[in-house]
Amino acid sequence: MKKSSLALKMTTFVVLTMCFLFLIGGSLVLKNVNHVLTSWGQDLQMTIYLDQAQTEEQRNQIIQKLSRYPDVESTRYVPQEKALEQFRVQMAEYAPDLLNDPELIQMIPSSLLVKFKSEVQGNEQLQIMKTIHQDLKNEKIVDEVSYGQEWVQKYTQINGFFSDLVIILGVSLSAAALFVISNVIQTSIRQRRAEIEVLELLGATASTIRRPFLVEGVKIGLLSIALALFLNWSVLQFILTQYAGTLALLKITDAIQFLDFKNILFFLAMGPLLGALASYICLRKINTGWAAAGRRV
Amino acid sequence: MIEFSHVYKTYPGPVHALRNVDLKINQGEFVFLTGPSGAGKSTLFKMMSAFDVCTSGQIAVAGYNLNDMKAKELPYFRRQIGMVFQDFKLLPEKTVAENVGLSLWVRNEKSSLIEKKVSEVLDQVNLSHRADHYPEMLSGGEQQRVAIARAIIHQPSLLIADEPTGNLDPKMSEEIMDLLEHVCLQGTTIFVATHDHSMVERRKKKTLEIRDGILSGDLK
Repeated sequence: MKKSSLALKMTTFVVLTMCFLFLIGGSLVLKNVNHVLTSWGQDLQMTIYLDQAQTEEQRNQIIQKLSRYPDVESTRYVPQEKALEQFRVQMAEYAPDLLNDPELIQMIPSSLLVKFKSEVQGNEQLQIMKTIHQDLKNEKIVDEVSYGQEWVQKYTQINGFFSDLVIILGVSLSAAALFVISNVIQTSIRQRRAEIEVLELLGATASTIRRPFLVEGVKIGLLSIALALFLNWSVLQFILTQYAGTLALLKITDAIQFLDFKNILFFLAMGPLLGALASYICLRKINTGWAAAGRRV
Repeated sequence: MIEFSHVYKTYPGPVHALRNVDLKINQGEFVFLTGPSGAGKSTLFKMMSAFDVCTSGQIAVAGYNLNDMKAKELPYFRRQIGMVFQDFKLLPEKTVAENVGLSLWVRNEKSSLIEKKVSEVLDQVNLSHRADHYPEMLSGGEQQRVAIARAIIHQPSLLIADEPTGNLDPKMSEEIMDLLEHVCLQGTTIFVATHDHSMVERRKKKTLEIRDGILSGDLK
């Protein structure tokens, strides 16, 4: 192999690996941001504060209404005495004086705590909460519905932002990968022009002539994406080891994971497919007598 | 084997490269084509090997009507013929044996068959001892013998040679022509373009001459 050809192939390999590195890295970040936010959001629940003048019948009507929502896992009634007790326990250390204020204590209402099924997350969860809010806000005994609106909205926004970013990154980096592979295949075709011409003279079919170039594209794609996967895995392992304490403090050690088997297979197929596609685009005009007849690709 | 009927070829300009060419060459014939540079020899070769199409007229070679031939039929037509060039067209990164075996490799023949045939044909051109050498290690005459071996290994019905002795000294040229005559005796039609009038006269074969695109000589 000529030195210039080897240098070009090495450069292509490095550039392509970088493309795939960012593409896989983006997917990895999206997946883990999603995991972390989900793990933080798993305890999310809706609190329906009730009027003090409520009757048991009115309360049961609300509980029944909530039970009709398929995504609601459970509804628990917290009477005022229980809420007071919890409040005392929580505030004892921080503001012991507050507990001596009888008026303030009386302001703590009874409530219904609504939990959602774990598979309902993100935007879907936000929409259900909004619907329940709309449904209950006009009920006579409902004072207020609270579900951490700001948190849920930010969560869905962040998630949406990363999804869009990964899609844009995916499309542009795939296009860049196609361009880079096409470039090396075209150079390879130019360098092997004499060989192609001779093969045409001898009666080689289009597939016989194209095969080595297609194999070259597939090889470049596969090797680059395999290396990019390995590098991403290494970086993740480094982060998990180096920042183990911080991650444990944030309770997200378990939430941070590498790509699953399906994703790895997807990327391992994507690299060679991009390589084959880029090669095919360059090879379409080969073997119509172009070389010997002096026509160019 | 080769039949041209009222063939014209005009390039933009216009340049009339071939004018009303009528030609018939039978199976097993040995034919020389002579003529000055720019007379139309290369155009005639391009037409014959389907590297170009005529402006008008009909061309039939080795059972193929070249006017109506589809692109996907082209490789299969080329497998029926053998071609030898002045610049040999050997691949420098392949050995003599690999170069000769290419004609069979493109047909997806088994490597055991390729090895056997390569060995036989290298024997025929007296180059068995050079099988593992690279073209750059060979003399011009040897390189041309490799090119001929590659052109005849699949036993084509027609062998077209464009100035096969153009880069060789007289002794080597005679050796190459002897080899081509030997191939012809085995039933292959040989069509040779050359500038070497003295050699054409010595060989006493059917001879055609082309000047300004007009073909003359023993055309039937």
